[in-house]
Amino acid sequence: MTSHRASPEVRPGDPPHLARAGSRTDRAVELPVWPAALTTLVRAEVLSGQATVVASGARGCYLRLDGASLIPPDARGVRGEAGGTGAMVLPVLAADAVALPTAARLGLDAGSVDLAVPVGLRVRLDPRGIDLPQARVAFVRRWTPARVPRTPRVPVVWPPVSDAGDGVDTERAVLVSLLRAALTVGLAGADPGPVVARLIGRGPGLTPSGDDVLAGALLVLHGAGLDPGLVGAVRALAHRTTDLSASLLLAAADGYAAPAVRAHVTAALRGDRPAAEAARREVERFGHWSGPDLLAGCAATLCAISPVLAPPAHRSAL
Amino acid sequence: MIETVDLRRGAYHDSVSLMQVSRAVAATAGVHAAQVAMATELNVEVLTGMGFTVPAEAGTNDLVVAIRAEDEEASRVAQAAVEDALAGLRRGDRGAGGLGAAPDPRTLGSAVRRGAATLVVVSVPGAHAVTEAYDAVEAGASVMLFSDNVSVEDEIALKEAAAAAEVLVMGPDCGTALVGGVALGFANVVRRGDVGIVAASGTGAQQVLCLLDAAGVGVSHCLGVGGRDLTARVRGRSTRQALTALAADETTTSVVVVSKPPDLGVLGEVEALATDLGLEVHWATLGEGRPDLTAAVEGFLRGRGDEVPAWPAVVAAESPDASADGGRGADGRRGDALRGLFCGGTLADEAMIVAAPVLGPIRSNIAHDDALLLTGDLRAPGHVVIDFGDDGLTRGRAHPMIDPSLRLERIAVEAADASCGVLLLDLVLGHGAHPDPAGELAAAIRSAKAVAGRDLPVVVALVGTAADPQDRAAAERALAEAGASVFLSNAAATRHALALLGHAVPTDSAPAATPPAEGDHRAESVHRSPATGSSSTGVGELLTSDPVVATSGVSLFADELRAQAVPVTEVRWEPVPEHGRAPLARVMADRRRAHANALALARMTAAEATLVDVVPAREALGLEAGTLLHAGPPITWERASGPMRGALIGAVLFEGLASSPEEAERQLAAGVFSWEPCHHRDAVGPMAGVVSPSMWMYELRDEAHGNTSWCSLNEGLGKVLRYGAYGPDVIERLHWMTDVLGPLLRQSVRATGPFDIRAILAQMLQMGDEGHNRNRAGSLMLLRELLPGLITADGSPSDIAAAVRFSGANEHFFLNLGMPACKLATMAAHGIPGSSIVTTMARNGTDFGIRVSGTGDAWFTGPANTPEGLFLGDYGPEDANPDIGDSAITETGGIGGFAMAAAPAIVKFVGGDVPFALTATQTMYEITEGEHTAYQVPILGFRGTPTGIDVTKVVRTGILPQINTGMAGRVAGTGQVGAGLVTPPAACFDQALAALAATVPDPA
Repeated sequence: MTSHRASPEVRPGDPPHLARAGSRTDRAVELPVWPAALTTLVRAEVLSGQATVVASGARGCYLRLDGASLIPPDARGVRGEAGGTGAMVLPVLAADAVALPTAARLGLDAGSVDLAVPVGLRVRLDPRGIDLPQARVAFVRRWTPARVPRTPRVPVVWPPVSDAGDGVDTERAVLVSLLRAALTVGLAGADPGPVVARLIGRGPGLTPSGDDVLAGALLVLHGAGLDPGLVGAVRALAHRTTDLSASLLLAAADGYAAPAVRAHVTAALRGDRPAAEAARREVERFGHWSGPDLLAGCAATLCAISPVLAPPAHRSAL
Repeated sequence: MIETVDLRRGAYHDSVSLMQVSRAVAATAGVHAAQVAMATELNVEVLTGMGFTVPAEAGTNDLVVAIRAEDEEASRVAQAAVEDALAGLRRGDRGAGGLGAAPDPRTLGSAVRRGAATLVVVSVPGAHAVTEAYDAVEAGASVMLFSDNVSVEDEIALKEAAAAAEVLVMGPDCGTALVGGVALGFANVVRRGDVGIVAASGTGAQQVLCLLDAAGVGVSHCLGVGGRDLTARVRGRSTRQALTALAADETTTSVVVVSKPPDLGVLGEVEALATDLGLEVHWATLGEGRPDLTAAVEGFLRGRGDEVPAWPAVVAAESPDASADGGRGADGRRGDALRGLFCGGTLADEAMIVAAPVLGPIRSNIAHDDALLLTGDLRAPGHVVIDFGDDGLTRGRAHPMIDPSLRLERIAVEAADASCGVLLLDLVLGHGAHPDPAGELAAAIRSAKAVAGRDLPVVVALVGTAADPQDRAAAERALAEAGASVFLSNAAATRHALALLGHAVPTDSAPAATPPAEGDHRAESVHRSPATGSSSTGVGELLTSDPVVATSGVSLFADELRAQAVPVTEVRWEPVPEHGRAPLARVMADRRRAHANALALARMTAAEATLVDVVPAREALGLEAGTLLHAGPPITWERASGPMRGALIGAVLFEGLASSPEEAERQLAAGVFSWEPCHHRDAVGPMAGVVSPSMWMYELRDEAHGNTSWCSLNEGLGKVLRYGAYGPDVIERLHWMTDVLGPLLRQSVRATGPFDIRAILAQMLQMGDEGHNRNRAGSLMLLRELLPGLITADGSPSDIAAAVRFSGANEHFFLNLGMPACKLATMAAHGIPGSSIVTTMARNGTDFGIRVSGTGDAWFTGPANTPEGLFLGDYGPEDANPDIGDSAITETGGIGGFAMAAAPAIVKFVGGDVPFALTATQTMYEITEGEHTAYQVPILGFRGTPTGIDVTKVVRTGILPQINTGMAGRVAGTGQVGAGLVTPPAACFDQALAALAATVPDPA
């Protein structure tokens, strides 16, 4: 059970009809079974019927579930430029992929399994697993994603960097200044929605940069127990980004994150600089830009809330 | 009858795997007996007992395959079955995944770092387990220590180290844990919930898990702490860590501690901690006069306001009240003794605690009272309870939860014993246990009842859940159909057995009648406050993310984890040779070590190396006339090899101290001159490394640590002094170097230097050099630095031209700068108390010597190996001299052979192929403290080179440092005959480890 490649009769490049149902039970006999742990954030009963592969690589594939809605229908507005449908996306990840909180995760790494499937392929799933062309992914247990704990308010918040964003990356600097604006508006008691609308879904890719910056902010705010209106704004605007990104944003609003991100935010809120730095180096390696964007969002938010968290005596000195 | 006893050297497999192999082979048709085992003292005894003759030379690291078969044919089939089964065990050793794949991790520390594991499972034999556990703790992972035979002293020291590292040690002898829904070892599949369990008892914890599950109450985590944790000596060290971790866990709201009665002082301390953590703690402590585990769980449930369900039970028709004659059999006979045959130690203990007040004395192999202790064949008249999982019965065989054969045999024995009135058994399901234990047990029960010839009631405590892989309901059915009464509660099963023996027992466990012991339900009014509970760090982090696991030992654990979708890194562990065990354990336990090694690496990688001057050895080293330096550890003339003698002769001739080689040789042999290692004067010399007062030296400086190092100038290739040549042309060249080259280089360095040698080293590794046997890019870069100053130097144009030509023609020109640069790095790391990092590796052509940071200037030597590789011209292996030179300082500093992957072209010079070069570097990470921050390997994704050889890792893994080197001719005056690969003798590291062990302070 340790090492299984795609069975020879179905290759990742083959047309979708190869994955048609009907022969499922027959094929299930010959297909390898890959044990997987399903996130506790997803109810098993929504996992039935069909799903469409929206993205894929050796370390993971992303399934958009038919009929499973992430965003309540009444909150769904106009489709955003990034093209969200409000459907739930389930990442299916190898052990060496970043542990997204919404994912089903295998215990095997990409050296032993190849999760690549053609984008657009329709696959069948049920509460006990998923039938991929190359294997049956069987849910053998639930895993609990890492969650940023509510950290008691401490006077020492360690801002990981100056919140000026990244001087080299002008796009990130723009995103950070938008986030700072949203926080300022929100902390002043006004509605940050219009500013958040300019951030959400902004940038290319499955998880646009604007969303990563926002996710960093949401995690810090969750940990600090503050909400200057960002959570509501994100929920209302989640349809304006990709379905995958929307699901990750909503998870971030509840404090769920990959373990290294959680470690960074938690340590920063506790003022534990060495631990925050160590985790930061790990987060930096995420994805193409996701890691640096998340960190920029965290940093800007930590700086913005520092005066709020400081005790009154301390605040007056600022 | 055909009998074969086959000995296989160095083929290590863990005992559980081999037992499976033995069982499989023994089951082959025509085989009368088979045993496949490592030739440990114990196994040899077992084999001898089976009538096999084990060759006297068999050692503990040899595999013995002993087969007794009916005929040739059966013997052949059995041999094939052994091969098949062993091949199956090796399947886990994953094949190479591509060009020069990284080798499997060989130590837990390596596995933890590679796989980012948060938890390790150690199941290697007890003698090695502590070493593995220290390694994991040092790497920042929590440990489940399955192994037993760990001393209390080791346990305390290990738990101290774990507390300092803010991780948890579960164990030793911890068989059951549940972390974030993942079963480790023997654990049941239970519903998730908010109750945390801290368990000093394995099967006790399983009983509590299953009862809670049956009551509909879920469990967040179950953390084992080892059976001795709550004793006065161990003082609850792991229990405290476990409580801290559970307090930080969002899902856990209350905790049940399952244990034997704790020491009262420890109890108080643990309770105080729980109060500080805001954690509600309940005690399920098994002991005389205390509630049994079922009663404790019932009390806990009532305290929570949960309903106590009727525990699952199937009572067989033979129960006394169903039988008019009071339970007698058809022939009117019935024994009156209780015979309890258990797999679970705690369950056996609980049965005795429940039964003894009713029955009186019970004999047992785990009796606390010596008068009742059973030994030998464990037979006795009267009441008997046997724990088949006890150490005495698991030597040389797997735990009865995996291999039930011993207990099944005993059931048959009891059936034949007329005094046996009731058979009381347990059966524990869940991960790790036998895949279908109920089938075999049911068959044994059926056959026991059939042969008994009397009414023989059988009662089984079936500890399991509906979700267990074996399916409790199916197991219950099978046992009930065999005529057994089946209970989920072990206490209820025991009471039923007592009733069957005709004793009046309250059917209810009557928890209300039992006064709550100190601590029971005491914390009900204390509710945890997240504000204090969640702010901890360290061990509190253990439960915040899904477990990632590394395992060392029995592969069963890794397989079980893979089936649960847990990322697992398996260590390819091999036992440390006997003589290394004690010193290794002592050094690994040295509390100074982790910090000392980290410091050594930090200094080594931070050391600077700037070429500041070129100076005659007389001035630089204060080398007096008639004094010579040489490579490697100290050596006498008598023991000196050909090239070393040749170089010494050449140096004497060069200094004009003798008029002929013969005269020089006579003087040297007569002790007219003195010599000592270059290393004793902070210098290094390639090959023979002979330095005399008139020779010029590069002077390199490390301002960061205030050190200076020196190395001679490179003489070029071919017949040269460093290879032991001393002909007139050699001496003439040395004079030219002294008169012309040295002064010109000095002018250049003084005029345009200093030059950063470390920067050149970093760059040359990205240009295909490894800094020991390939220095092409480095030599060119050095020349680029030196040329402007050389060309404008004050000298004749022809001298300058000759100097430039000489320097440019020599592709090893840079080696003599790379070496002192590495020397500066290792000097910075030298002399740190407690550090096991190697700071010198050097050879004199006869001996290989190392020095270690924590043992100061002592040399640890062994006979130098002869390199293997490629030869120049007609030379062959018989022409090569054993390993020689200080140039292994490059490997000591993290380049050379350690950076071979940066220089794949080197394989054309030293032999091997490109994948070999990649694998060589990746293997060295297994024995080094860390990675260099400046020296990187492009093809490995710019990973830092493996740096800081750790003596403990070399001894643990048996992996020796890989050195690329030139080969000198055996006969003085021959010169270079080839180049190749070589390793130090293992003896150097064994000696160093023993010396390090002697420096470890006794624990306060």
